[in-house]
Amino acid sequence: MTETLTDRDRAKADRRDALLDAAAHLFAERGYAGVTLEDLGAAVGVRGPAVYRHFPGKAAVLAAVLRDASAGLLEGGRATVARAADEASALHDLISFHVDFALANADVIRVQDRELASLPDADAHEVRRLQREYVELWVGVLARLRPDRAEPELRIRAHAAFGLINSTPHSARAHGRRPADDVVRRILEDMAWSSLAS
Amino acid sequence: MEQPRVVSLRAIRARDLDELPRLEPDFAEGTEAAHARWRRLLAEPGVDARLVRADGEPVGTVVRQTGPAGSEITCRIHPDQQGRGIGTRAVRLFLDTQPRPVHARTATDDHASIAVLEHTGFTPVADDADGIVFRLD
Repeated sequence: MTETLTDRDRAKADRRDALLDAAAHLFAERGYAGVTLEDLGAAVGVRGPAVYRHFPGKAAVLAAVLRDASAGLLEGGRATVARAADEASALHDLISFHVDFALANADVIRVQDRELASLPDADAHEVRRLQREYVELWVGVLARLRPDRAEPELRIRAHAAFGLINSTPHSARAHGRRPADDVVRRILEDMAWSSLAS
Repeated sequence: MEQPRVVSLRAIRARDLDELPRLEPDFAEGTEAAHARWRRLLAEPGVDARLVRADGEPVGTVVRQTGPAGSEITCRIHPDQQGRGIGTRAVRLFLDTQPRPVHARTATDDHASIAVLEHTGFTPVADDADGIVFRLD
């Protein structure tokens, strides 16, 4: 399939990705309402109208930022579980995977927290569906590790662990110097493991 | 070798310093010297330095410096990652955000860099003992 891609397709994919990256940053910084399509284009060096080559409008950019993030989590999470030798390492690796995501995507997490309501209904529905599947992936691993616990409890634990791991937009903003990623990573992994395995 | 799905750029920050020497194995210098070189570069006025990532993995750097002769860009891709078309895609993305004209310089026998510059629209304007100078208007 890769062979059929032309240079033009690849350049387009690169620009789309750059646009989404800049969009996550600008939406996080100024809020969705405070960013125009021209701002998005300017951030990646294309004139406002050229953004339409990639997306029909600003709402579609927001939808792509949030859908790509949720789809990436689900796909990466499934691959992580499939690779793991046993359930304990599956949980361990899922935690590391999600901490990596949260460290690299603090902007996306901030946008997701604030702007899910700005999405058109169909997109919001799709994002929520992807996220529910991701939660169930975690609940499945937890259920095989702790068959003695009821699923509703495990689901609450999974959500609580996401809450603490998804705190990176706040730790990145801590007053004074930003802590190094590997310091944050170790703390979040320890805390997430304790909250799930206790 | 297979081309990456997505090539992306992001600004190089002080906390990337440890990563940079690993991306430039053909620089015959120690880690300390590499850190010092990057610190000096990042502190220069008119510098725009980005990390090049292929499907999320850091694989090189692209940098614009502003000198008396105008702006000059340099792109370095890890030798193990060369031949995948990454340099061309990184330079093309970078050029989207760069004012013109922009220059680049390569060694006469650096065929990989010459190919990247030709693919991205540069034309050779001079050559001297230091190599070939390219320009894009």
